[in-house]
Amino acid sequence: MSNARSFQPALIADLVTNPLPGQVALTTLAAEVLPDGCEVFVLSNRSLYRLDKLSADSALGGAVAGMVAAAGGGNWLPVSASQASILVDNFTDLTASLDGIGNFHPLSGTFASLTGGEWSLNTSTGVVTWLGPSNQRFLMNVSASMYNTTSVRDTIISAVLNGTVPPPSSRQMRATSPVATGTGARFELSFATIVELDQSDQLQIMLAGETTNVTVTNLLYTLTPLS
Amino acid sequence: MTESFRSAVELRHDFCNTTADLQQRYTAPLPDGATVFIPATGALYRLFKGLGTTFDTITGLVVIPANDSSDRWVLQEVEGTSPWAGQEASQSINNIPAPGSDVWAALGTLSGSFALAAGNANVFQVNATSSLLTYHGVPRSMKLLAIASMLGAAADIFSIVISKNDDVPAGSSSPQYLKGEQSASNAATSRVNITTQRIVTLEPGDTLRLMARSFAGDQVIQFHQATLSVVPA
Repeated sequence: MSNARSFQPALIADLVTNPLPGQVALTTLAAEVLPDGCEVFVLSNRSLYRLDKLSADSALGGAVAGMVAAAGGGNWLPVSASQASILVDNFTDLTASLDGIGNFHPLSGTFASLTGGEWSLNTSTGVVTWLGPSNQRFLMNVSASMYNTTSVRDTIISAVLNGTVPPPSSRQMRATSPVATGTGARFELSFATIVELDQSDQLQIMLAGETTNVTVTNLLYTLTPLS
Repeated sequence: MTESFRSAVELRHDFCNTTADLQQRYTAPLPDGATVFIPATGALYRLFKGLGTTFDTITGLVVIPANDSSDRWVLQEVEGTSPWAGQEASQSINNIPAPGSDVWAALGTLSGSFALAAGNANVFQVNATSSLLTYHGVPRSMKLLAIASMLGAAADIFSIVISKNDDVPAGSSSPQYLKGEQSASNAATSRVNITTQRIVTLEPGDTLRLMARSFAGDQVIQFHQATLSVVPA
């Protein structure tokens, strides 16, 4: 059975420059004759790209997320967005100065990014910015080990999207637990959530609690695309 | 548009009724990366030219063409989901003897009982007594997730981390935060639950295992429940 013409064309190309004889570089495809949504499988990285003719954002060009189509407008966007793995620097504990009444506060310290080319990390604030195309959905897993120096009271860890702190009644994107007291103790909190990100959306880990000071010794969170 | 490019357009997203039909598809004229969809199972295969025999034991996920070539059809998805995920599980084992304060030791240092809970057994091979998980699939970026409930006789801080190819060596005591080390403390004879994660690229033959250590004390560590999940990233 073969009925390829009834399918939307899907092409095969090589990546960007120096294609092998008989192959076509993705960025030189004559996109004006291709339908919007057309897919190309790039041999060099064995990844799938989709033509978005309405995407006019030049920031998506180059090595960040997609590639600007050679003609006809639009971008070639990766079908499976890249993953990210963010963690705290292992020599500097993160600290959070909390108010004891449940308001969220950012962590202070030094952050580092392990993987992920389509993300931008502010190493001072821990704010991570999505640079890829909009409407991307990710599974976000957060793990953090912490203690406080005052008392065993409930502490909340949350992922904050675009600076909008979830209301106290929200049960999304957070975990709550009593945190062990003293430097000789530790408590690990983790949660998972699905986030849908548009380009330039920002995520930040924040803490709130019934106590005042929390030290996060290890923090790691990953974002993997749902495809 | 070159002729080779035009032919690529026409040869993509072809159909086969069964994997037996797919085996009979002559791959020589097909471009590298061509795909075939099998409607009955919702399976999408992609042609990997010159992949060779390395993955021939992964029945179902890799289809060997009948035309005696080194080309292989590699399963990409089934009804939109990836077939390249797996999970190892264990329970209730005194499996780490006291290795020394702050010293890393492997889950399964003492013989335990470990099994593959999900995934293709030819891709994810689990050593039933040592817990070592060996990956035999095609190279992929993977998210690793481990969740463990642990018990120590005395109050202590415990850490866990996922080791790839023993990059957290047993007997070492270095912090492994860059590999996702996470810690929690317990009360004496009480359990503690810890979660850790990591993103890695797995190549065939790579190994994974869960490592643990206790701080200050020198504890026998009992893992009541532990899972290690491998998910395409």
